[in-house]
Amino acid sequence: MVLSNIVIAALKNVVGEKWFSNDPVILQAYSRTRTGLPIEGFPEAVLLPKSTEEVQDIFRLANRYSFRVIPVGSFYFMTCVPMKPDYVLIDPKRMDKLWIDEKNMYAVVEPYVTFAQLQTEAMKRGLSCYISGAGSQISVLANMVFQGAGLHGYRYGLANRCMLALEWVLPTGELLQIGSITNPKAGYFWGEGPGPDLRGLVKGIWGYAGGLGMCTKVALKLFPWAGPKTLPITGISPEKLCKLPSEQFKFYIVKFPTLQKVIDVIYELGHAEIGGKCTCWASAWYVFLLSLSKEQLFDFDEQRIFKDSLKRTLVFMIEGHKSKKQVAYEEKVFKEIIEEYGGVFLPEEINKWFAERLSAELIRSNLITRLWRVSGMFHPLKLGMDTLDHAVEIHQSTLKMVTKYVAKHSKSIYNDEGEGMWVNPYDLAHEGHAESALAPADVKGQQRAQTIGLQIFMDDLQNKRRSILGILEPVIRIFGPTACNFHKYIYAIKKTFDPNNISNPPYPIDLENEV
Amino acid sequence: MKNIKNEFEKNDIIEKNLKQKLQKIVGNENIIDDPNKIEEILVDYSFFPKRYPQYIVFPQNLHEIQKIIQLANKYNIPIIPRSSEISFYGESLHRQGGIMLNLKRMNKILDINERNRSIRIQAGVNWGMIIDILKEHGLRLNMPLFPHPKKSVLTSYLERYPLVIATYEYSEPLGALEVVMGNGAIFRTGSAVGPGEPDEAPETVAFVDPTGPGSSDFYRIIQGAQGTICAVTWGTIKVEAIPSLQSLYFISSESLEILVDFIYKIQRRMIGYECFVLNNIDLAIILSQHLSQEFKKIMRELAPWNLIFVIGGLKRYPEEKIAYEEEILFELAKQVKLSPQKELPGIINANQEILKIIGEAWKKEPYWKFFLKGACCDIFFLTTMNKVPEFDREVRKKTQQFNYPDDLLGSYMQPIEYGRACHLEYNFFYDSKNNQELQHIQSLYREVSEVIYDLGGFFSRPYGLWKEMIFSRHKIYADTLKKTKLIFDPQNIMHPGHFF
Repeated sequence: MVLSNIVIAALKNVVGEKWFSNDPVILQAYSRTRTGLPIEGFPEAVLLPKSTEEVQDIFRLANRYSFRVIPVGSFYFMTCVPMKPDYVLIDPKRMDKLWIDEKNMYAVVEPYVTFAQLQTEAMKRGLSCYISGAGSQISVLANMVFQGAGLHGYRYGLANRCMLALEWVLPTGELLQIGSITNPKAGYFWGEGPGPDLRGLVKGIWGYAGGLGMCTKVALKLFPWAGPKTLPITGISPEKLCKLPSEQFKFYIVKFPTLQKVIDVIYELGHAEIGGKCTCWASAWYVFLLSLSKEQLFDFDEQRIFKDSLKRTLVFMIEGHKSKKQVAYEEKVFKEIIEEYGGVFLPEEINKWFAERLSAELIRSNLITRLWRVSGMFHPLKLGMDTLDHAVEIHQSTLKMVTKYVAKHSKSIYNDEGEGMWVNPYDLAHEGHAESALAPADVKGQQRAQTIGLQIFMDDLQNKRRSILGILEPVIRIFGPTACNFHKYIYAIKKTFDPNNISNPPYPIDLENEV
Repeated sequence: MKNIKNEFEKNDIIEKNLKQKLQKIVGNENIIDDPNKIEEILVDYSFFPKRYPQYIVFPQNLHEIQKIIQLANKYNIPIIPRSSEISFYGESLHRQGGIMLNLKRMNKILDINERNRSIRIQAGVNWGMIIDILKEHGLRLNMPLFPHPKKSVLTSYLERYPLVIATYEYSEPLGALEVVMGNGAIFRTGSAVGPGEPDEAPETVAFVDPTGPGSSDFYRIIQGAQGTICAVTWGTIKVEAIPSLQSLYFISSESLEILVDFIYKIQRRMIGYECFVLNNIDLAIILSQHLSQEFKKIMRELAPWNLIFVIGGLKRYPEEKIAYEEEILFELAKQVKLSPQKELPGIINANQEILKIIGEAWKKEPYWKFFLKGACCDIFFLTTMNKVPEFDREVRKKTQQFNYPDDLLGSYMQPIEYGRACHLEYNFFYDSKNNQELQHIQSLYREVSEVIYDLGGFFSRPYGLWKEMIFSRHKIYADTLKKTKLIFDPQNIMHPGHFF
């Protein structure tokens, strides 16, 4: 259905003629995203509101005139693409303000502020922010309300804990404020309450993917940053280097014979409460992150650069937020632990080469888009969440199945030899997260990645592993019945707060298909 | 008339049926309906009108709880879960009667996991039970300030009690939970949700992840709900290694502004573990009970504001860690002309005593808040530390209008997460048996709370009168809460009338 003239006039009335477009050329640009499935769909119109009030009015009009709304951030995930006709898309490009309370270490952002912008401003004030694994180029708000696992988790936990007070336009157009902002004089410093913490209503381990209205402002925790006010970047893209002050930052890559050994060490480092960043990468990550072009990626691959030499590595960084003596203390403890666990340091010069290329990656997640190097597609295969030991089990349990499949289809899927794996600790190793992904070489490869993805998802279900991908339509209907029927509550929440089903259906669950 | 008679008869039948069925579920010996015994068991230290249940039942497992909640749904009888043997803020009072689901018998420690530094405990485990057991494993909880030994550990976290260590970023130590929803369904949050039952999970799973399942964080909806959504049966909590060496400092000041400024500085450098401020009244109460010295003498010796700050080292080179953190502490103290001291002038052994009790439940009789006058009215809220001096001035101004004596006003400030925010608490000590004094305190409570709200204090944990104060001013939030509750408790049997 094409939007009626009445609806178009009403929407233009809300955002202004200039900020409404149904030009097919413009809409083409909004027809597919960078991640996930090769879905293509066209919205009826794109709107660029300026304020929360305008967003509220768009949702109210959607309820009155029965069209659907997709709120997006930086247009990254597949759920940004319309699944059916009758959708308008809210692009928040004009909602791009950020405020920082330096003393109390939090920022308030609108939807179009990126992690890179926030971190740049925070660092000028001796602070830094959580940046998710999805990269510094994306919307802070959209990422936080959707997922948010990342390299900063070793110290600061999961991203959803970084969210403080927020304002949320419900699908009905009502404005829900959560946390300390419910008392207008209190400000945005606190996220819980009053009473039950309704942040839990609007965001879980994954978010509602636009299926429950739109967050228009969120406060986020900032953290002490003792490094330089701007990162000392030199060189020209794509080969930029970052040389952090060596008296404050120590970067290490340490090799281990097995994944389990790396994990044992991460536990010990967490128990010793040392380090600022700590993660485990397998060799494919180095191939992706360090190749400067698609050609170079395949050169590395052919010559087996990194593929054999960096199979199971600990990546660790000491951050001197306290003093030089703290850095010396942590370095001493770190080296002692590595020795105890039989880790092998890289030769100093080689370690330095990596440090200059990857230490900034740990701080600002800037190179992550290189995972799309092969064909512009990237397919998250599985994510697991519980203990670090379970993260290992999540990865290894289906590894044979995946490597065999990928080897068989290596023309359409980049053959990472099972090395496209990342294990990340949270809260000083209290929790762990395993993630593996495939890089399809073409659309066929994308479809094949889906096929093997579904197979290993079913294997995880059967073996009761804590794999967490099955939370959106359509797989939520497979996972839900095995997991306390949680999909029924998600259905009830969606139905209660989006009674006319106008907020990005069918996500997270299709109201037209009863549970 | 006939209708009323029928209603009575119907209720009488329900009552008989209900009791029989409850007996069948938990056994005759695990149900109490004697009003005197009920009154004895429901210990609430607040001054709110006492409202009692008709029955107290003591289930011992998940399925008994489920059956009781299903029964309550069938007969439309209110139900309130209670895991602690005491309450302070009227959170367990039965506004509409019904059944108290007393979880005292569910007091098992299900798992102590040293590698993942987590424990899984049933709701009835209290502070008095757990600390020594954890010590045997070299572990400790980041815990509230001197909790009551009969307070449930899990409930303390669910109710969001402030924690004394400000430097762990994970100020939410809760992991996954198992609950029975108000609709009678068993549910598990986070990584406990499944697939499958908890005992079917691979051995590597410790149920430490709280998030989800799916698009909502159910554990967040449950915490802070004060029993209005479900009954929690067990939960996982993060624990920490006990430092092998500790060093405690008192940093005292006449000026709250200077002390706040100093705390901002030390928290920004991310040093130390326990970090909190007590005024001379609260600290004198704590010390006098442990040092057997006269309260008033200690109070007079103390400065008005006292920061208690503990630096610790774990198993590797603890002396070195403590040494560099001490160096930072002294360097920062010098900047604001404060002097960290090992001992308090005129008070012997304070350092040793505080170190001994800081990670413990309160063991002396009476509970420290009841030491001065037998009862205590707490007013607490969240704010940012830079606003604390203004709050303090205005609260004192108001208490002076009430002629409440200054030397009976306790105060506790707890910095949270590197000083990003703080919990500010005022303790008004009073004699609950003196009617006039009680009424006076009730009026004071109401008016001081209004002053705090108007200044921008955030009552994240709305007990007592704060519920009305907050929810009446924020209709959309309150409406969203009501709708959310009904998703999990469609018949509104869980603690009805408490919030709504």
